[in-house]
Order: sequence, then structure tokens, then C-alpha cells
Amino acid sequence: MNDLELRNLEYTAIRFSGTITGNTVKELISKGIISSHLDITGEGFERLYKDRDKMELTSGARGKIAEMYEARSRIDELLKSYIETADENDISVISCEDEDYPFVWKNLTGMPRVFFIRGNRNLLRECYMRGSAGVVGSRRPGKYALYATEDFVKEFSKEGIVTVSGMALGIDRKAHEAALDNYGKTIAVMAGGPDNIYPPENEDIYERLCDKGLILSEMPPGQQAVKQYFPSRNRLISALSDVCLVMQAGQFSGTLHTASFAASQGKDVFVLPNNIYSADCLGGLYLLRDGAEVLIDPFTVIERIRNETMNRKILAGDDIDDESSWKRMICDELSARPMTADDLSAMIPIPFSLLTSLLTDLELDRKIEEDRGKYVLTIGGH
Amino acid sequence: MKKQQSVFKVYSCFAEGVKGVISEIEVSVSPGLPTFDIIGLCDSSIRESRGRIRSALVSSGFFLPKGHITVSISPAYMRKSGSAFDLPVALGILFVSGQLPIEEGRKVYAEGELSLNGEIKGTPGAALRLMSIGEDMDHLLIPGDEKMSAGCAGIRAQTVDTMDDVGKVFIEGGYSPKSFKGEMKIYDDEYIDISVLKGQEKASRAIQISACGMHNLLMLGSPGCGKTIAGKILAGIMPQLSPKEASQVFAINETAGLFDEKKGITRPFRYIYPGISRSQLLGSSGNLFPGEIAMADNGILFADEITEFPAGTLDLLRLPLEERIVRIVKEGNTYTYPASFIFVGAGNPCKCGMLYEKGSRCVCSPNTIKRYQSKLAGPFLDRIDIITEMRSIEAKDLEETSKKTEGLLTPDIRNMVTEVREIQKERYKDPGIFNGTVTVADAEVLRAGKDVVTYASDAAIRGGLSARGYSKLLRVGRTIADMEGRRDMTRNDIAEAYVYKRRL
Repeated sequence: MNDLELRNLEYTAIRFSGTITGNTVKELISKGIISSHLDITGEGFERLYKDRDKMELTSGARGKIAEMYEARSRIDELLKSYIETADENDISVISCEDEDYPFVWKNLTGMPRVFFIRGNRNLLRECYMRGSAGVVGSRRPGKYALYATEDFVKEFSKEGIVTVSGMALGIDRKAHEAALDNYGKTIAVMAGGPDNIYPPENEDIYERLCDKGLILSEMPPGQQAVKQYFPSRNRLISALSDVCLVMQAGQFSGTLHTASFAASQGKDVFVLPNNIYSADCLGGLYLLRDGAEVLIDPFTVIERIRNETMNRKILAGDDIDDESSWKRMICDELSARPMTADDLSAMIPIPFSLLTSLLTDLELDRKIEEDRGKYVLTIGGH
Repeated sequence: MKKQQSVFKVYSCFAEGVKGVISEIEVSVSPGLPTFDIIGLCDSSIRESRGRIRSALVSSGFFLPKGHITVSISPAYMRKSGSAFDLPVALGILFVSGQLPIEEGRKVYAEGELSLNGEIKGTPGAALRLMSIGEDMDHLLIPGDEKMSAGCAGIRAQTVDTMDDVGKVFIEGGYSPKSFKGEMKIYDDEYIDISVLKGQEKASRAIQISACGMHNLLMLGSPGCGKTIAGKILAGIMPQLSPKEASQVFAINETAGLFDEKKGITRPFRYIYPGISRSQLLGSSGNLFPGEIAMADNGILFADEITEFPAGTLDLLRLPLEERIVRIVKEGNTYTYPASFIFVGAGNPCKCGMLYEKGSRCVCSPNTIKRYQSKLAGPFLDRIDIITEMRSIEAKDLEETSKKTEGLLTPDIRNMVTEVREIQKERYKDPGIFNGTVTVADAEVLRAGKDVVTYASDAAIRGGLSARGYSKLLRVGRTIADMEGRRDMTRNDIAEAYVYKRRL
């Protein structure tokens, strides 16, 4: 674990010591007293306490800082347990200053400054570059919703779109399973810490996710999942996704939280039309009545996501001018599935002549080869 | 009394292959019983002209002199045919019998078919004939129908529509030759716009490169994916015919009697199919009628279903593709037709045709595919510069192409192609030579640096290209560099060219 990760863990320990809140940190930053959340750790910790009377702060914040100072020993204890658990479980720490921090989160309020992951961290970047779909739904779904989940996620996986869900039973489990089975990419956002397997029945999926997917949580290592954490977990699912798919939702389902977070974060919500005679489906149907989009085929969704990612690629392309970055992007695209030069040209915003010459370069380097008019990765892909 | 000439010479011409041969027509009238003979290996269309001439003269107020009339058409050892000799023979008779005045030593050229009432009509092959006339003729008379041919040949002549007009020219001194340059109607505004190839970037780029450097092209794809359309689009993005090209196109079309005045002169697009016969393809050795290869000169030869062509037919194409000419042998003489065209082949990539389609719609086994494609392999494929696969356009792209919101793209592309061709004209100092057709294409001529040559040979080895394939790689790379406006070739140009070389 590197120094930066340790300091982020210390910050987390301070935050979870029950003293300073997210709002206090926000206030400190907005008043220019600290420039980064890490400034309350290490040497900053003492300084903040000593100079607290000189600062123009609300009395609440001043009190919190005093509480924080007094809780030092508790904080150190927490930190020690975090480090132990993180090392044991191969957990990495991502903060808002990391380049892997989801770019879109910077424009949303209420996103965690630090979070924890286990598994393949590249998926965070993939989420941004290829787009992602949040797939959520009931823990006791009907067969119909399960089949639909499987079919939709399969199509997303073929396109390289990342499937985001919450590793709950039912729809969530199916979504992860379908993505993993189809060599797709998937992220599970956990309510407890990243090492906390909840529900325990999903241990098999959890292991597969650690191996081929990604586990993400804003809760520190070792934290048990508690009932009140679930709604805030749901807001991360929607924040990570470009669109939110509700496969089945009862009238008082947590899934509805995810949908309303998605709507307030400006993401499109699609709902699978379901049985009107089943109370377990009414939540979704009411969403439809309130203006959610009907989920009929995966291609509408894929199209929507592709529009989003196309803009991102163009933005990213503005500061890419060396060919190796473009080549990496080509290999990225090909890792999802074999493609023709025409397909690639629709995905990568560079002139066709440049694209073809890069393809030949890659081919001569034995990285890709042409088969039946399509380019395929020689290694890595499936 | 002024001595009446007993023999008079008039000049005319007949077409032999793609060349006109000037012939002298001597007419003599000597006392004796009235006879009328035409000699000089003439076929019946010429011998029958006696009847037309007799009637035309009488109905225009002239007469056929009494006595032995002998007409000799030279060169006497060559077979000739055609009714264009009517007018010169009639003129010779009128001069020799003193019915029309002419100063001694004047050279008169005439051609045209006579009708019984004295009208003069044009005959096929006029453009070829008029192109071979030297500048030493004092009088040039052509039928009014042949204005466009005269324009192509760039000659100044007097048009005559009836025997009365002919009389006026000589009796009243009314000879006033005109130029017919303005009569050439070159049309290029009927084309399929390149924007319909949306979503088929590779094919679109391939036909652009092909048009710029005169590169032979092969398109493989499922039935109905737009290969024929792509061929027509290629014709549309080629530059407007230059006056010289236009007259060549016109001459060969007019000779074959295929010229349609309403359509004007357009870039040839000749369509050949697997069942085509040898003489349809190369030309007929009986009457020297040009074949599809010769007709495609300056344009496109489009071979549909190329994978279904018998191997023998494909072999016939090899020589024209290499030397840019086609030869016909008739009675021991070889006649050469120019045949500088872009060869475009279109066909299925496999037996079921679905090899490149989305999903796994192809039902052929790898062996079947190999066997199917091997038809194209070897020396023939070597002569193809650019190979591209094509796939059916998806429904949503199809919708977009039918909307045509972006306006036409072909005019801009055509300008680009014209510019790139100018660059090549400068390089090879000849408007008829392009990157795809130049005989010697070494690294120096093509301006490829050492690293570029190394890269190209690496690519050639990797792709298993022959020496000819390697040369094609350099040529296509040169065209790409020209399109990008680069003086020296770069590795990227070779890299792009390599994409269009298929590794079988």
C-alpha cells in the first residue's frame, strides 16, 4: 500500500470516527482553509486544531474539529484495522485526486471523495470510455425479468459496455452472472466494506467478480453492511452508470431509490414492462407512468450509451495526438469483439486513412490479425 | 476548247480497326457503251452505290455521263466496305464530266452516303476517319450528321446535306469551312453520389484511391451489398473527360454505332459477365468490331460475379491489364486498340456470399471458402491493386442515405481526384500515365525513402506478397501520399495501402 493510499485511509478513519462530516470538509475546502481533503490528515490534523479559533468557521465546524482532535486514539485504532483488512483482502484505495476516479462524479454532488475497490481497476476507466449500464431490480424476480436481464446484459457485454449492479440476490446476481458468463465487464457496488460479502449466498459471484470484475464500496474495509447504507449504495450504482435499467421493482423496493437517484443525476431510466397483476412489478410500472422509458430492445440502450461515449472519446481525443494512444484505443475496442475497419471507424474519431495505417502497424507488430474481413486481437481477447 | 480531264481524283477514307486509312478515288470516263464499274476490293455495300449515285444525280438535276465509267478506290489491296464512298464517287463523276467546275490540282475530301433523292447522310466510323485527314486538303465536305465527329477530330469542314448544297459549294464558290469544337457534348452530371456509401468507409476510401491513381479494384461482398453501385460511383468521381479523352471515347462508340446523341459523351462504364464470349470481350476479328475491353478505354471495365468467370476468360484480361492495349488479329494483320481503363471486379467472397456479413451467417466450411477463393488467386489477383470487402448497409444507415441531408459529396471528391491526377501528370510528364499504370515504378520515381522501402518489404513478406504485389503496394502508397499532398511517401501511406492488399 503506498503513501497516498495510507493518507486516504487515514482520512477515511477520521470521517468514520463519528466526528468530522463530509459537510465540514466541504466547508473547509470552500473557505480555502484546506485545498484537498488530505490536508486534514498527518501534519494538517494538529494545525487544524491549533488554528481553529483564527479561522472563519461556523461554530458547528469548530466543535467538530475539537471532537476530532480528542478522538485521535480511536482514529488510530480504526486506521490500523483498515490497513490490516485492506492488506489481507487486496483492497486498493481510490481518491478524487486519482486518475481512475470516475470523471463524471466530479460534476455530481454527494459523491465520496475516497472509495475502495477490489479486482480489476481498469474497469473504472472502461466505464467512462465505453459506457456503462446500471442493471437493478427485485431480489425475488419472476423468470421473465431474469430472462430479460440475461439477454440484455449479454448484448451489453458483446459491445464492451460495463454492467453495474449491487450484487444483491435476484436481478443483481443475474446481471453480474450474465456479464461474467459472456466475457463482459461488470462492477458490483457493495453496501458494506469491499471485503464484506453480503448476502453470503453470493460468495461464488463475489469471488468471480474479484477475479474478472470489480468490487467497489465507499465503506471502509471491515465495515459490515447495515440496513441504512443500502440507499446510499444505490446512489453510487446510478452515478457509475450512463443509463439505469429497472428490470422489476415492487412498490416499496430499494430499486426505486436507484431509479430516482439516476433521474436526479440526469441519467436515462429504462423500465422493463411487466405484469400489471403482480404487486412485485407495480413499482416499475408506476415509474413508466411517471415518464421512464420503456425497455424493449437492448439496441436503443446501446445506441444511447454510444452517443455518450462518442462525445467522451472526442474530448479525450483532443489531447491524444500520439499514435500509441489511438492504437491502445483500437485494441480496447477489439477486446470486446472482432470488428471490421468500417465498424472501428464508427467507434474511433480519427480519419479512416489514419485508422487503416494504424491497423497495419498493429498487424505487422503481431498484435492483431485479419480474419474473414474482421480484425481480432491475437492475444488477450477471447 | 479547254481540255476536259478524263481522270479525276477525290479523297476519302475508311476505317480499319481503330485507324482511318486515306484512300484516293479515281474516276475516269472514256467513250464507249455506257458502263459503271467500281474496283478495288470493294464489298457489295460499295458496289451497290452505283444505283444510289445514278438516282441521286438525276434527282438533283445532274446526269450520269454516257460512256465507260470506271471508279478505282485505293489502296487496291485492302478490303473496304461502307456507303461513305457514295459522295466522293459522285463528286468525281461530276468533276470529270465537267458538270461542276474545279481548278486543276485542288484536293477534295468528301464522305457521305447518298439517298436516291440526293440527300447526304452520315455513316458510322466518321470520327476515326476524320481524325486521319491531313491538313493538305483544299475542300473538306462532310454530311451534316457528322458535326460532332468533326468536332472530336478538330477539323474545319463544310457540311453538306444535299447534292444541291454540293453544287452551290463549287459553282458559286460557296466553300466556307467551319470548326465544330462546340459540337462536342461532354456530360458528367449523371452519377450516383458517393454519400450512399455511408457506413462503408473502406469501400468508399478504396474507390477514391482507385480513381486517383487508376488502380484496379476488387470488391468482395454478399449479393446486394452495393458492389455495382460502388462501381457506378467510381465512374462519377473520376474527373470530367478531357477533350482528347472525349474524342477517343466518342470515336470508338461511334465506330461501334453505339453513340447516343441525347446522352452525349460520358465516361465509359462497360459491364461484363461470366458468360461473355471471347469476341465480345476482345473484339471481333471478322469485322474488327471493338470488344468490351476496347470500349472501356478511358473508363471502367466492371466484371460482375468475377468469381464465376471461367479461368480462360480471366486469362484473356491479363494482357490488357498489363499493357493497356488489346489486339485483334485479322488475316495476319494485328490491329491494336488502346485499352486504358480501371478494372473493377465484384464478386461473392464465398459460395454462400455471406462471409463478411454481421453475425455468423456464412454456412461455408473453411475448405469450401479456400477452394472458392482460389479461383481468384495467383497471377490474376496479382494484377489487382486494391482489394476491399463490403457488407450490407444496416437499415438505419440506409435510412440516412436516402434522406440526403448532407448534400452531394461527389463534386468535391471529383475535384480532389482531378487535383491528384494533376500531380501525377507533373511527375510522369504525360497525362495518360498514372501511379497505377506507369511501367517503371521504383522507389526513386515514387519518392519512397529508405525506411519506407524497408517497411514496405517487411509488410510484403508478412503478407506473403509477390514481387508484383510489392510493387502494387508502393504504387497504391504513392497515390495515398498524393491524396494527402505529401511529396515524399511515409510509412503511414504504405501501412494504409497494405490494408487493401488481401492476404489469402
